[in-house]
Amino acid sequence: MTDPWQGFRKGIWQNTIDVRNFIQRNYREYEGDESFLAPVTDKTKTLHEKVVELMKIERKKGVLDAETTIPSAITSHGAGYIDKSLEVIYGLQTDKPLKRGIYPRGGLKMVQNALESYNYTIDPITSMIFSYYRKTHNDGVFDAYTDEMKLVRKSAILTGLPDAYGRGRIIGDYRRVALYGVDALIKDKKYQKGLLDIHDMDGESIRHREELQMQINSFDELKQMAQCYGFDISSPAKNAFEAVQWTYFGFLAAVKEQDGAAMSLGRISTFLDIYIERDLNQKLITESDAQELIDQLVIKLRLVRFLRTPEYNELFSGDPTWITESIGGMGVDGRSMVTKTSYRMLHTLDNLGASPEPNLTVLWSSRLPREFKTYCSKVSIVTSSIQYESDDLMREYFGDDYAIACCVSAMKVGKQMQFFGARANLAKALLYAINGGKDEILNVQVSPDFAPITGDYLEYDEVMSKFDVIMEWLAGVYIRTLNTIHYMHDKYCYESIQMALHDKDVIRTMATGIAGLSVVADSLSAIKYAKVTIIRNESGLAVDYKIEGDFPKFGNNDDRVDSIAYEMVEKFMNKLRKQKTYRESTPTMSVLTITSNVVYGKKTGSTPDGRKKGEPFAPGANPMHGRDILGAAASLQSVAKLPYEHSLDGISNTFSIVPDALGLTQEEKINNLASLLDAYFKYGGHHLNINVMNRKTLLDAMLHPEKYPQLTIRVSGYAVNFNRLTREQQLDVINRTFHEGY
Amino acid sequence: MNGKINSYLTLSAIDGPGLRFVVFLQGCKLRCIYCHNPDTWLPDNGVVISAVDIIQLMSKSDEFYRQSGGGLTVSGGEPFYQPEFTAEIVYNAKKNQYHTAVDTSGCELLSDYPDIVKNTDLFILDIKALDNKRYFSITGDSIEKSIQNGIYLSSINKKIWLRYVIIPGYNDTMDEIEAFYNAVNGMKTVERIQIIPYSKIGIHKWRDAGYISALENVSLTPPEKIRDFIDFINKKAGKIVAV
Repeated sequence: MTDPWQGFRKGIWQNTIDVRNFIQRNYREYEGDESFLAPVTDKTKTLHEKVVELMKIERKKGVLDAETTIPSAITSHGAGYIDKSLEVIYGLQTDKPLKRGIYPRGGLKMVQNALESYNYTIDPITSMIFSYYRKTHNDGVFDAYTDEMKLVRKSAILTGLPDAYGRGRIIGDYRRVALYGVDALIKDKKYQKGLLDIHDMDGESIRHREELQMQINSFDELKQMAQCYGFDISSPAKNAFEAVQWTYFGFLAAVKEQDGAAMSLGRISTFLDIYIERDLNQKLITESDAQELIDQLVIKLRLVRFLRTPEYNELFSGDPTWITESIGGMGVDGRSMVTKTSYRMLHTLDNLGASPEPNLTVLWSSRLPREFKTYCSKVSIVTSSIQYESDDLMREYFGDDYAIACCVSAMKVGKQMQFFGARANLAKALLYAINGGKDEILNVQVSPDFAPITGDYLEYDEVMSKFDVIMEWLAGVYIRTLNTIHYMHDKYCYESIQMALHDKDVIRTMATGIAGLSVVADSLSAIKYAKVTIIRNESGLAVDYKIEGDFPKFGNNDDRVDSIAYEMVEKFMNKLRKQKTYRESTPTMSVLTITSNVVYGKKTGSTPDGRKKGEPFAPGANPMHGRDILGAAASLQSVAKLPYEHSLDGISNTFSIVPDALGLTQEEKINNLASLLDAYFKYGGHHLNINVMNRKTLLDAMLHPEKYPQLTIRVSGYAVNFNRLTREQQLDVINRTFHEGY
Repeated sequence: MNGKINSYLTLSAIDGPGLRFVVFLQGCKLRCIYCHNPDTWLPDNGVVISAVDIIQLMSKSDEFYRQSGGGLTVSGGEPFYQPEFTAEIVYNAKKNQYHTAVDTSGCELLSDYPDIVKNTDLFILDIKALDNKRYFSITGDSIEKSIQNGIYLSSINKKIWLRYVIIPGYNDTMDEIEAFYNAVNGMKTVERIQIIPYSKIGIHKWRDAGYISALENVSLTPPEKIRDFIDFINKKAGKIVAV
């Protein structure tokens, strides 16, 4: 048998599981342009057309098909194909494309409701098993929730908590499957387990040993799963095809075991490039073959589905899976990590058309090769399908082998995971400060009783001191709720295969988030710089506000208000830092909403910035739409000022511009967009979604969705198919600031 | 010194090369029927600010302009309506090593303002019409100096971008485009010709400012026709780019 590592440069990666070392020793940076790229092959094109047809039917029906009996697991279903003769990379979640699996370990209710809403019924025996014999994560959480936790959930000051399905935001290092083969990984895990054969075996080490055994078992299942497609993945991949296929099998096992809120892929492009380059050099494959491997992989990624309730889809638009692939970035040694496969991955948007998945994320550095920046910019202008995140910022904290989970959450691949914590509604918290902890919509006391503001006007110092009390309380109940959720998730819905693709001792973060930051900043600014009169209802609850005079608004590069936003982020983060967290995880925070800014707004009363009850928040860390009146630079800079060190789980910003405003010629548009990204990140920006499209196109797409089957737009941290947004969300996107620059 | 501005925009990608800071000065003596900033006409409106403060505001977003080979564009209103102020703005911009552009209707003789010309890297010149009668019908003014200005700028080697707005029913024939091209053909420093179809994007500003636009009910020039004009110029003009 030939040595699968033949031709690779030696390193410590050969003696220990260390994919980063392998990449650094072996990748070859590419500084040229995109002219080498190959078009889609006929075979892949035909396959893709079949997939597009299936998706069309799916869109009409809601779901194409669903499993009702067998819970999804790594080996739950046999081999599934779209059309075997056209496929190059194999593997589906269930036995048929787009047939959705069920994941009752996370919560039976979610499965039942989701099936029912699409006119399916769960098999009674399956239902009985998960009702009487096998407890779920969801049951565990609700057994332990306190009344207060249930109340903050109901009032929606905490929303989107992963207490009814898989928590997600964990990235297995799927590359390990290809580089080492599964047997070597099993051997390593057995060794790790042996290290825990210790005298003082306490609860934590017993749990750890159990987890390691579950990881080993999942590796055995992974091998079986690959076997049913005819592949033995016990040994390392020997060529580019096997490297792609093995890596994908690792990922596929993860999405068969878990319906996590975000199931990100990691950072595989440059890793795969090493195999592709080796085969190309030996003339074993052509460029067209290489592109075909990536195109076919991406087709598979676009087929990943989970069964969600319509309410979930309303919150997040369509079927998000957040299969985020992080591309580019710089190595700590100063070399760019852009390779030809970075291009090939982005080129799938051209070969297969725009798409929200996989969630292609470019790790931007001012030092990336000029040609690559230009190419990204070009693809963005055509597809609006790329998000950008500052590698220069993240590399300082995470090195050069981190990846983005979900939208903006950086983590070291295979070494770090997070306990996903959704987000707290900070705008609602501000209203609680005014109303003494009473919810302005439910009219019930949510926080412990304290004195509301009784004057006619809002005084800045008074509001701030009460807001401080509320934030202190909120941080506490928030972390306690997350501790409960993640304790139960580990217990009843452990991610065996994903954690098997991690080191023994992982870094854990408790990833909280906030929504409504710009509403809060503008409200406090109005209170400070204008005169805000409280309007109360008959029961004395503050329900609306009258503002007299002008005040600085977030999004105009005005320190008077930007500093308030900064201060709020730092302040809430410091309160989170004080809490005791489950498994000694480190608290972090994000400023991110995805599309839930619409639903959060719906559940929040009028705010002192002039926003009326029910109106959407701005997405992520965006300024409120229409208030950033000084143009894009000022708007971007306000967001760039927010402190990443206090929001290490990411700060999301979405930027929309009409194509004609980007420049007069195509070349100028491309250069201007690249310069804009350079400048934004130089000012300290963390994340930027780029949408280049006309408002008119979007309005037309609302009326004639059939004309725009693949119309993709970026929302906070994520891309969605525009047709899958609810009408309200579509209008929100259209009303959002488009930079027109006239 | 102080002057009056209508507003400023921290990012434009279409008013000169790269990403730009655009300051719109208050006041203009023309009353062009297609004006999209009629709120800049009257000198009484606007905000008082110093030239130094403008550059200060601009430098807050420095990276955008420096990264992209962009700079400052003085627009309006009409920059030559406040010539001393404009001179001081471009002087201060140059002092800070910014690329400078002045976007003018060409209603004044540029050779009379050496202080402005000296510190301006690019002039964006609006060619409104080629004969007096037509010029009057569009601008309400009787003097036409824009061609003269173009020739002057060429002679002193200043870069020029020309703008020609297509107004339906006024100048949207191929004959007019040909005449326009012949008139500007001799200007050697023209880098770009922008053929801009009239759009109603700013028409609400007319209503807001209490004016009635003569073009309220006009039907817009079809895009194919605009494309033909652009193609015509691109074919004839060689290295000059028409967009």
